[in-house]
Amino acid sequence: MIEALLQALINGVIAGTILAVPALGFTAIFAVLNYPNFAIGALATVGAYAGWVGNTALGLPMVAALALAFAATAVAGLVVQWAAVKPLESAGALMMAIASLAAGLVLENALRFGFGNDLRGYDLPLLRDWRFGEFRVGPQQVQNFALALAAMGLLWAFLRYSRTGRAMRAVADNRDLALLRGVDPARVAAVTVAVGAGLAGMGGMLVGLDTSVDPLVGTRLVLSIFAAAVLGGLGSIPGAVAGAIAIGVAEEVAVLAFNPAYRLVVGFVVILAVLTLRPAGLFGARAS
Amino acid sequence: MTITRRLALGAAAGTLALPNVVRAQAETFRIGALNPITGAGSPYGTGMQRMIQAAVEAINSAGGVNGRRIEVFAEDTQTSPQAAVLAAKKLIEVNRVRAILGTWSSGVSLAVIPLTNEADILLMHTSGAPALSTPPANAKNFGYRYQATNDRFGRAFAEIAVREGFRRPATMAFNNASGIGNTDGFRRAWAAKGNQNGEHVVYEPNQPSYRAELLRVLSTRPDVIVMGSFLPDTTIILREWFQTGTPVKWIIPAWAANPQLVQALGPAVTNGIIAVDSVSNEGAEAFTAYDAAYRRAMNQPGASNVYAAMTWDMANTLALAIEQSKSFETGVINAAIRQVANPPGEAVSSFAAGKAAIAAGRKINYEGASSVLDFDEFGDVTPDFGVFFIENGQFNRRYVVKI
Repeated sequence: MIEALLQALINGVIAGTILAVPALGFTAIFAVLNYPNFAIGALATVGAYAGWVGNTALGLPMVAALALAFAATAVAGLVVQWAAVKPLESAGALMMAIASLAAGLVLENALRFGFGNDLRGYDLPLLRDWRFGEFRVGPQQVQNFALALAAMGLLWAFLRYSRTGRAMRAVADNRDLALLRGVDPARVAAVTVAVGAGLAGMGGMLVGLDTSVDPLVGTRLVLSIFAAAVLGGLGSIPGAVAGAIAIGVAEEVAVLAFNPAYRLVVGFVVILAVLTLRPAGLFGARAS
Repeated sequence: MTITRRLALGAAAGTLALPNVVRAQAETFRIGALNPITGAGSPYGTGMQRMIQAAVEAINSAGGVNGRRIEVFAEDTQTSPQAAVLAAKKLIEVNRVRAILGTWSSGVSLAVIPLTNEADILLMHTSGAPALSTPPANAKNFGYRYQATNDRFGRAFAEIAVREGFRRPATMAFNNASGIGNTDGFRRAWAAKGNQNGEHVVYEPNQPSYRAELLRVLSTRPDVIVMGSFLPDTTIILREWFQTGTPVKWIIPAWAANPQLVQALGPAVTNGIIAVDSVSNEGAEAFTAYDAAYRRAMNQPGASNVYAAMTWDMANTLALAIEQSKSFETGVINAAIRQVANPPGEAVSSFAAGKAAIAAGRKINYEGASSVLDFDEFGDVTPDFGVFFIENGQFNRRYVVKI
């Protein structure tokens, strides 16, 4: 039993770290633009397909395919923002959220139209797990884990050291003050959307690497991403990481205790509990 | 009266304005071919549609039904219930078809059957969910299943497990009527043989990973895992299983363990998987005729598509029932279907032979290309099951199971 629990913890931490990548994108967009971008699932799917095309059709290695996934999804995210969300900006956050949801459906079905419903696999050898006594971990899982950590490290450095990153944090902290200091809000919004969507695309590709790519690969993640961001505190960067790892572990451990058919309940229960007990989330300051 | 240009124009316009029925040379009996041309069923759908058309061609050249030609309107379900409902509505409301033939996958058939019931027309399908046998889905008994139910698949799985000498089977089911129908059928049949059932996991569809569910099953150390599953989830589960390196055998329905699965995972992962499918009534005269038609239309052997043999039989049983009932009313035709398909009676294997026998006043029993095609009180048939072993990416049929 203890072994099963520890194995679930290992799997949960790895799954959570990968989940953290799109959750960071989601929470960054929320922090700067003040609306939940529910196109994040479809954007993750865009990234999974872009990476797949890069890997199988163009023969790119993993890191280059991941960069392509980031770039393609950043463009797709900007298109969604510009075509669907921005025209409704004056109508409030709810309308923007609904517009992003609709844009996500359009994206998902466009991919279905272009690539069909078939499952696609990356051009990777299928490797056996490494075994450490009773525990096992897959080389692909470890690689994805490392790539997710690297992506988060790059994001942290970007936010900490680059001028644009500091401007993004400034707008998230206090919009009016940032404007007074001469920060260009349109530019910051565009960069945030591009980076946020790009992260979602990387997350979609990482999940696709471990499973397979189909038009629903990102949509399956939306609930977990949202739950992770809410748990960590919407708009909080460290919160998104902590929330994602907590959700990843909770989903894996839940299967030990409950019938796996109820696994999806974990995300909903977490959202419900957080919104009831601590609406600001673990690290959030906004709602308090 | 002189015919002016204006009068001629008026007459022409008037003719165009008349309903289709009057304009047509003679009225036809309209049927819908509603098949999975795209989506998960696409390996089968085109062949299914072609065989409805080929069977109708043969029926029409044998003089049609009750003196009318049959006319086929074809639509694509996209293997999606939503798309199938739209297509069925179009067939019923615009084309005014009197029967719909050839829906594939339980989700699609369960979505379409309320529409066919409402319109008082027959639905002949190839789906496995047990729920399609009984009310509310089959409230009017207008639904006919040419495929084995999932429960019968489960019973076949149990026969195979015994024959292969498995002792500790576990089961994994996709959480829908079809998936659970398979594993429940297996567990009932396995217990009825005096055996102990192992771990049973029902999993939610549309997950990025099934590692937790899989590890839960593998931790009980089964020697075989019996699946009630579909292609996308099976692909992920088998990939994750291979990564664990745990030795276990698999029994999987053939709509999930198919050449696409081998293509996605490669021969190393899929080696030794047992894929189970209902098999056509090979050796029967009707099968020979179907096989020839299938080779002409698809350039492949008829045995490569069990569902196309089923749609071939659908067109023939429907036409024979119309001929038998001397009516175009659904209720009367429906009452005649078991009359022409079930024993006793003179065994016939084509519409032409059946029509001649009916005209001579003899009771007939259509023996189909897909199975002997005897419908029980629920409109279900009991085909035989082929047991295929995947070896180096090839599907080798080792034996046939009868239940």
